[in-house]
Amino acid sequence: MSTTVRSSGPHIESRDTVKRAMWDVSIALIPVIAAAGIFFGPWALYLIFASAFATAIVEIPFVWKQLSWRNPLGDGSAFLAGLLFGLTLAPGSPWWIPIFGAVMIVVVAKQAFGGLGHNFFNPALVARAILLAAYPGLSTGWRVPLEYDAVTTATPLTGAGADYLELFLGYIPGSIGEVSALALLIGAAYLLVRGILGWRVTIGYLGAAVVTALILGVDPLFTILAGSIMFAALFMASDMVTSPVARFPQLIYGIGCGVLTVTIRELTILPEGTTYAVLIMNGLTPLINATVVQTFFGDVVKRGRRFMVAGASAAVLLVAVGVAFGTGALGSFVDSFYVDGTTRQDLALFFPGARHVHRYDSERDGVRVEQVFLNREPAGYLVYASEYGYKSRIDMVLALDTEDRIIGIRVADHNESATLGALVRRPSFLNQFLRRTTDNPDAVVDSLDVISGATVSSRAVATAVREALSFRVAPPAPAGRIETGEDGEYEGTGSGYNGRIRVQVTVEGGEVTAIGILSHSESPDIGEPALERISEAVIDRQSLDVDMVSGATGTSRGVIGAIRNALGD
Amino acid sequence: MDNTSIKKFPVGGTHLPEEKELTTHVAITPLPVPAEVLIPLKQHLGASVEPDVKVGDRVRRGDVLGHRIQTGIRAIVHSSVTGEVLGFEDAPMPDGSTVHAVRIRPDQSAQTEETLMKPLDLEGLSPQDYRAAVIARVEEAGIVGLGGATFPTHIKLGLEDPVDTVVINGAECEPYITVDDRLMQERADAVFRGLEIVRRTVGAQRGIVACEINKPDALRKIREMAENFPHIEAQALDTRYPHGAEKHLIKAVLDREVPLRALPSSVGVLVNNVQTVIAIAEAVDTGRPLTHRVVTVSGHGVVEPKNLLVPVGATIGDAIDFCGGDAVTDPVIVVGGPMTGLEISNRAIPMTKATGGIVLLTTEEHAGNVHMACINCGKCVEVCPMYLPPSRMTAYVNANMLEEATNAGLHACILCGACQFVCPSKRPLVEWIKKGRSLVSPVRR
Repeated sequence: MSTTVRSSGPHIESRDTVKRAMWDVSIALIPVIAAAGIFFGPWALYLIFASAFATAIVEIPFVWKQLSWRNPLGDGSAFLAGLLFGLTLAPGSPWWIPIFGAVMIVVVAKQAFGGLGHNFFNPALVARAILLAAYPGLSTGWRVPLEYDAVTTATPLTGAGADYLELFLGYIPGSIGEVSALALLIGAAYLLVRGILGWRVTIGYLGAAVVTALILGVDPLFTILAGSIMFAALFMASDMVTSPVARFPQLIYGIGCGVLTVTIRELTILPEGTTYAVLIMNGLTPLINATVVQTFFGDVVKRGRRFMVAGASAAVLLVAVGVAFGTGALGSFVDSFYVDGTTRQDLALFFPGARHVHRYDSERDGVRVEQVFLNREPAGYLVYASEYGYKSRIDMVLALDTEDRIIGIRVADHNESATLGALVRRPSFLNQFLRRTTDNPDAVVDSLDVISGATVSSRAVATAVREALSFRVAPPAPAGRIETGEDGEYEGTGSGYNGRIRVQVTVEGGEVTAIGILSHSESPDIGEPALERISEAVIDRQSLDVDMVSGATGTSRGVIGAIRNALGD
Repeated sequence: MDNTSIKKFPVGGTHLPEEKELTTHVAITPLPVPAEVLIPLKQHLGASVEPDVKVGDRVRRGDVLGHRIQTGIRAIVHSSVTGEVLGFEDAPMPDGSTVHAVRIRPDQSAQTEETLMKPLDLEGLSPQDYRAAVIARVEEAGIVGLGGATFPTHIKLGLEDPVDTVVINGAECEPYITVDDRLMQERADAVFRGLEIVRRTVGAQRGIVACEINKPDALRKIREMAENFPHIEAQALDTRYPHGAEKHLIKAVLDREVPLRALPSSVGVLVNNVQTVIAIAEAVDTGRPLTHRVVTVSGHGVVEPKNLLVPVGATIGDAIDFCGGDAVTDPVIVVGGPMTGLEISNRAIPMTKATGGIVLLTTEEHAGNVHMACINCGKCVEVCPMYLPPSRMTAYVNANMLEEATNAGLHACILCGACQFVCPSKRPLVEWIKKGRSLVSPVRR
């Protein structure tokens, strides 16, 4: 604080103060805290308030002069930072974490930079990042909502299934403050009324998260409801001190947060990306502030020039993106990341400490096997298989130990309906596959407990697991020459890579003479050529035992299935 | 003309406490002629005029006290009272400077004596003659912009740029001040008469009287009046500070953006204050020069807030005393509005053509003098009507990075103070911006 002698105006001032802003945010967190209390019980409340008060106490020596008996919490910024830190914790965190966080917030993240207003990085997130780096194990202390002591290892982001309503209300495992979108939105409404919600940051964040999710092929609604995106967008990224000051920069910053969060989530080993995404954007804030500057009122010449440059850039970008989409380059680019990312993520999940994998020969097309080594000793396998479900492919990941037993399983990707099909992500369903072995893959399908309402998706998962477990065994001997019926034209359908494939098969003189593709959803660059090649090969050899088109196995299988279906097999 | 739309400038600005209820219904009353007046010889933007009178002269209200200058622009200064010239002295001004001034002892028995010019008959004049006659009369009457800038009006009217619209600024966006508010209520006819004269002088097709909606009585009155004038419209403005800033008024009313460092005439607009056009109407129709102006004396620190018609040269203390004096101990006296006015402690400062308001703030409502670190909340950027980043600009100034401060808009700032008003850390941004300018100006501006 400093004093000034004022002679010129303004001689009046608004009632807004820093203190009021800080307490308004704290008040806005009340619904979140209440939800945390309901879902995770008294221990969660201990973690929240212990963090808040510990932080305020640790800060006392630094702000001694501003405190009094009537104003023991000073400007409230330390209390708020502690509160936010507490809300990012896992509900099963040990008792000393709040104190650890308080010291990190005050000493490392705030006062080292010069105190309130001078820090570049959000103090609560700095403390959280240090915590994640120093004690990675602590981020798995998840609890089942309403069952305060029941431990779970999965959140919706790491495989626990949840429908939209559960996600919205917060009936999901997760960090104390992040689970209930509803409570967060109630708090945000209060901030909006009080005029202190950084809504440009929030809108940019959520909007960019949705768009990035769409590009990466993830369910966008799930993306913003699961994990801590909502919490970060409303209360972390919008922190005044560490976000840009002007309108457009705020939007850019929010968009950056959204893109980075979803990118980190989907393409790296980390299950959640908000902490690092927001911290990275915090670091970029001074640069954004200084470079993205509005033209002054009355600077019509400069503004006109800018509009033209912006318009031209947008046009170029649009064309580039259009070309990238049109040629499928973007899709393969993203895919190329995705496959590797998945392996690293699964390694961390199922074989902690293992760093090396080696491609293992699989006898089955479409089943990828990576042998995992821990300290140069074989530790097991990661098996990737996929099967077409109700409306999308379901990608499965299995972890096998050295005795070929399933020790871990998760759904890597799917696009099934979010309310029913997505239930196959639930542990209660997936756990039935644990300890199955490669000895008897068919038993998986035979003794399957299906999820009612999601039969097709359930069966697809089981089929994928069966395929995966069959990776040591070559598929049954191929069928010989096609047995055709009477002459005529027959229609049939099969499941391709992207959807149904309908074919028309013409039989003349006991031979297949023509195969027409009636409809399909395969990609023009990879799928369509495969359709033609397979059709030609079938006519050529008069057999369904033709080589798969490499890189388009799904399409190949689909069209063969369709032909077989047409021929009444 | 039926125009019920409410306009505003598109980006920035803030809503201030209005406090107009204190005086919006208080009719303008004349301030009794005080025992002595001290009339500064410079009450306009420009150079001081040299006195035409000497000690012992008897002057009548309306007589010229000074009109000659060495260089620069001027506005003629008239006596606001009838009485005897006592001498010349340096009068203190609200900004701390002093100005050469004439001290006159009014003859209380002869205040009805008044020197008037011959009323102008403008009917039947060609546009060129009309223009020349009005501009000459405005100069003779010593009329300056009464919104506070005090730019000599005859120079403004004489600009060569073609003007299609004349806008009367009745926004009066400063809290407490109700000068234009009352004048639009009481003297709407003179406002419209003055606007017609100005409109025909500059050859504009259109006249607009703009008024914020927090002055419903004034707005109703000008809407009624506008129905009788085919070329004139009444335009309601939303209540938003700083609507009274000329360029923002134009943006709001006409959606035209005056370029940086250019005059409103560059977009075909002329803006005049309500009281200025009343003065023009009086100078033309009755021949009365500008010697009096309306001043709002208000605030919670004065006993009886009033709108006063004051002779220039009467002191601020005279006006406060007439309003019952201080209501609290040690009120903060602000000359002008509480946003852009100056804080004074010397009540002997004379009122001039520039004095629009005297506001006595209580200690509670007066801005404090303790500020905290900037928390980057961005509110200053949000409200800046010039689209500047006040927080960054002042950080540059305080780091003595004047080049960067200039690039960030140091000189584009209009010093409206909206940023400082909303700052939750109570940082004296305007002070710092002024400091930055004073550091830059010796080098380059």
